[in-house]
Amino acid sequence: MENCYLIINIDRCWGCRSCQVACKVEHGLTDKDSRPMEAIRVEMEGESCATCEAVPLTCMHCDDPKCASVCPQEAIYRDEEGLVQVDEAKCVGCGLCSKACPYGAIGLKTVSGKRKASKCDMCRDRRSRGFMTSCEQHCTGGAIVSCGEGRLQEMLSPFPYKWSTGKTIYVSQKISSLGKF
Amino acid sequence: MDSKRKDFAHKLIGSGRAAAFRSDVIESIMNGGHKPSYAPQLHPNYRPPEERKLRTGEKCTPSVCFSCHNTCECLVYTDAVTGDVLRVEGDPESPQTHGRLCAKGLSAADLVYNPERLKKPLKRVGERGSGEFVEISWDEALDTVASKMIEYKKKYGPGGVAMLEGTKRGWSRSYSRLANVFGLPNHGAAGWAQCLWPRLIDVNITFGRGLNYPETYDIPNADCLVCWGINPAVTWGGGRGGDIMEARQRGAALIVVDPFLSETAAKADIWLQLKPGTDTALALTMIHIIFERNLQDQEFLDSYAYGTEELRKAVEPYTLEWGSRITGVDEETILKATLLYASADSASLLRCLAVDQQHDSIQACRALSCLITITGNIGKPGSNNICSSRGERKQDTLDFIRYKDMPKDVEKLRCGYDEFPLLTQEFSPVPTAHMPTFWEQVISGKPYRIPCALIFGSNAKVIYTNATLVEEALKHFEFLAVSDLFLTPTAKMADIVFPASSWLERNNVISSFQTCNTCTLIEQKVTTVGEARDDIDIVCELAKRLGVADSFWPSQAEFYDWILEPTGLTFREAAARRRLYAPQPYGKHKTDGFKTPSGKIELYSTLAESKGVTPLPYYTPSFQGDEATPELKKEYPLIMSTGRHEVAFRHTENRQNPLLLELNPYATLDINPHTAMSLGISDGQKVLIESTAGKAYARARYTVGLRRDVVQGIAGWAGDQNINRTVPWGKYAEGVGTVCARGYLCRVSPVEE
Repeated sequence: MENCYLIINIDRCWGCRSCQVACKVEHGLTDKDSRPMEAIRVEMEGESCATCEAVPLTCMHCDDPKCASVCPQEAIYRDEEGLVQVDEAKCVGCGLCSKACPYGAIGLKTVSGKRKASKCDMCRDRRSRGFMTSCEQHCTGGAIVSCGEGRLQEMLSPFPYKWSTGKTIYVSQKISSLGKF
Repeated sequence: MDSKRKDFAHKLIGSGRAAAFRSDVIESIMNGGHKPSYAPQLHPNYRPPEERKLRTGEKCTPSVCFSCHNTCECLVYTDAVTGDVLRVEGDPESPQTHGRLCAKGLSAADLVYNPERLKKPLKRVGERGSGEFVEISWDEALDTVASKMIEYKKKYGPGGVAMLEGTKRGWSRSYSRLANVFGLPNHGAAGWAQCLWPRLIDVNITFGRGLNYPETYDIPNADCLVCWGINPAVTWGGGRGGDIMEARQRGAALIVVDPFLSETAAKADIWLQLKPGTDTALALTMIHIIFERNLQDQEFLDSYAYGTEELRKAVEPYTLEWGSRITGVDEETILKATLLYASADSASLLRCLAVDQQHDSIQACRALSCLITITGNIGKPGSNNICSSRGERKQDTLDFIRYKDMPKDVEKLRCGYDEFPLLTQEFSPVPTAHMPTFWEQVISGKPYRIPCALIFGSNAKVIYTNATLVEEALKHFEFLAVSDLFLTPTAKMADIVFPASSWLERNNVISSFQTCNTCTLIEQKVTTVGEARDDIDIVCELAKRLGVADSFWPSQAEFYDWILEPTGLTFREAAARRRLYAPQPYGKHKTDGFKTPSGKIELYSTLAESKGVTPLPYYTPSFQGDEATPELKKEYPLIMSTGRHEVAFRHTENRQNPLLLELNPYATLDINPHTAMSLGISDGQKVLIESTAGKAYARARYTVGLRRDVVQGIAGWAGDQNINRTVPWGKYAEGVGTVCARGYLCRVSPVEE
């Protein structure tokens, strides 16, 4: 199978948080579980007036995933699409992955009374049945699009500014300092 | 996890911005060279239904989400065996939403499974307000309510029994019809004078009854969109919100008028951050600039407008310098926005709740209608427009609500009848009582007593302004019946509670102009909860018991067949088609004209004048503030707007839903950090908000998206978090009696915990 990517266009996100709820509903998560997808509002005091951007934050599916390297159970693995996944059968819910992730992208959920690591699985089940990921379908701004390796360059070409550490790619035509830290 | 995310988001976004970003958009529109092309596009990853496989054991039913009035087409997934609702999703095939759906719709299954849902009719057994009820049968509940209505009407006259409503969970005016047929003049709602009615009254007197030009938009074809007092990104997310983002992406300019850096304002090309309560001033200034620079569409005005010269003269005092001083927006920004709007080939202006809640609501609406008209943005592709009929019977007419059934002498009993003629008489969409006058009369009993009321689909105890007084008034009813999904604070005050059904449990034919320009949408029932019933069924059952059954239908099933009858379709047949389509018409005014006395768009409103209301829009300062009450400003130094609507809630609704409460767990007060720090308030700290009307508590939410002298509260929270307790009464908008909920004075102080 070809690699799968999630392209997030910051210029189109206005922070409505549909993605956040869509993700929880699709994965049967409750309000007590962590949020695999969350839109964060970033405000700045501008010169003439304040400005605001919003960023949907989720798993980066890193090329070098810190969560996997600290997992004592080796429960975090890379799947056939190059995505970082949690094997819930192996996971004991110790939470070390959550501490290790620099982006706050992996947390914990409760499944049948047991704690398990919880993060974006790129709607693996949904896509296998011909659906889009729930976040990209429901996004009111059309900011999120998943795509395979074949279409990747075409999808990225309009954007001069990009940032990524893996399969999730933030893009913009506006944020010239995107990810320069 | 949370702080890590926030830190990362701030680092990711950084501070660098490309100077050229969208600069070409504004330039090309102002030079008239912009010709956006539009074809509705499917999502890049869309696959048709035959290529999508349901999960084993699941069934999918198309319906329409009615978690708010934007009403998005959606898919409801149920267990194929038990029929249980599993989840609600967007519908990728929908021409209205292309699969998008907001947080409210996505989490709507909670409406069915929340343990607090009412499943049987209730009768009060304890003290009023104690919450002690016993379950009773539907027959007993309906018989009791109908007999009390008859008894109180006989004893206290038609004014003694009130019929109040709210969102009603569905767009039907059958409840208003019952009020008129049974002859109860005190019919009213928490909204109406505060929501939508000022706009629709403006439509009725400026353009002619039902010609909703300023309420209907052609987003896909507009060169320029103006969002005036509306935040479609969260309030119309799945439908028109998404359309606006699409329009922006294909090159339409976006102008946003909002005191707060809302989700929509964040994406604006020009954001006009005006002081709350100065919308009319801004609109009048823009009209002044357009006339001054001769940018008006003179040909259109000569053919279709009445009172152009009178308007030109009336706006003479409202210069750019004046407008900038009053609104707090710098001259350059006002000028740029005006020139952009006036020079766009076609522009749609979207106005909403904010203009309805001004101290001068009707004048704000009238000024915006004038702005739309003088630029000729009426009835052409991309401009404000009207919808075509899709053939079904209309509910938004005086005929449907049987307005004429009520004798004039009875109508005159209506609270506020003489003082607020635009609201209470025939130019109103539903002639209705003035609610502050009504609630004061419930307490005073003068000039007559109002001891009995029905409240359908409204959490009156929480959502009315000056809530402390309304809370008190609710105790004065001798008999109160409430229809709702949950035992709300209002339902707790009732003698009889009807368990109403949610949108997942009912059919509906949705043809409101608020929904979609081109389609009437068909909502389908997917489940049943206990004995909960459709409000229309409850209305029909009451009608039978009140002796007026011949003006109603046996049940909602016959009602919808009757609504659809002229199309030749039954409800079932229409549901199979999903929607009734009719394209948006252009140029209807050329053949049909306008339904006003002059046959033209009345910039000078002879109908307003006939009711003693000022016929040309003009500016007055808000009832409280720098201009009107400088002394009071010393005591209450901040300007309050209670305007913000969060994506999680509609009015008081959804605060039982865990996934939505997670988004907004408590009442917040948006405040500029500079102001907050000078008051010793930290981000997230509990604060006390005080006004001349009362007090409320909230948690401070720092935002640089507000002026330093403005704070923003969020209505809909109950008890001591209820910001409506701080909204003062006593002065009301001319003609319609709107309470000023945006632009009154308050003070804020930290609370130690």
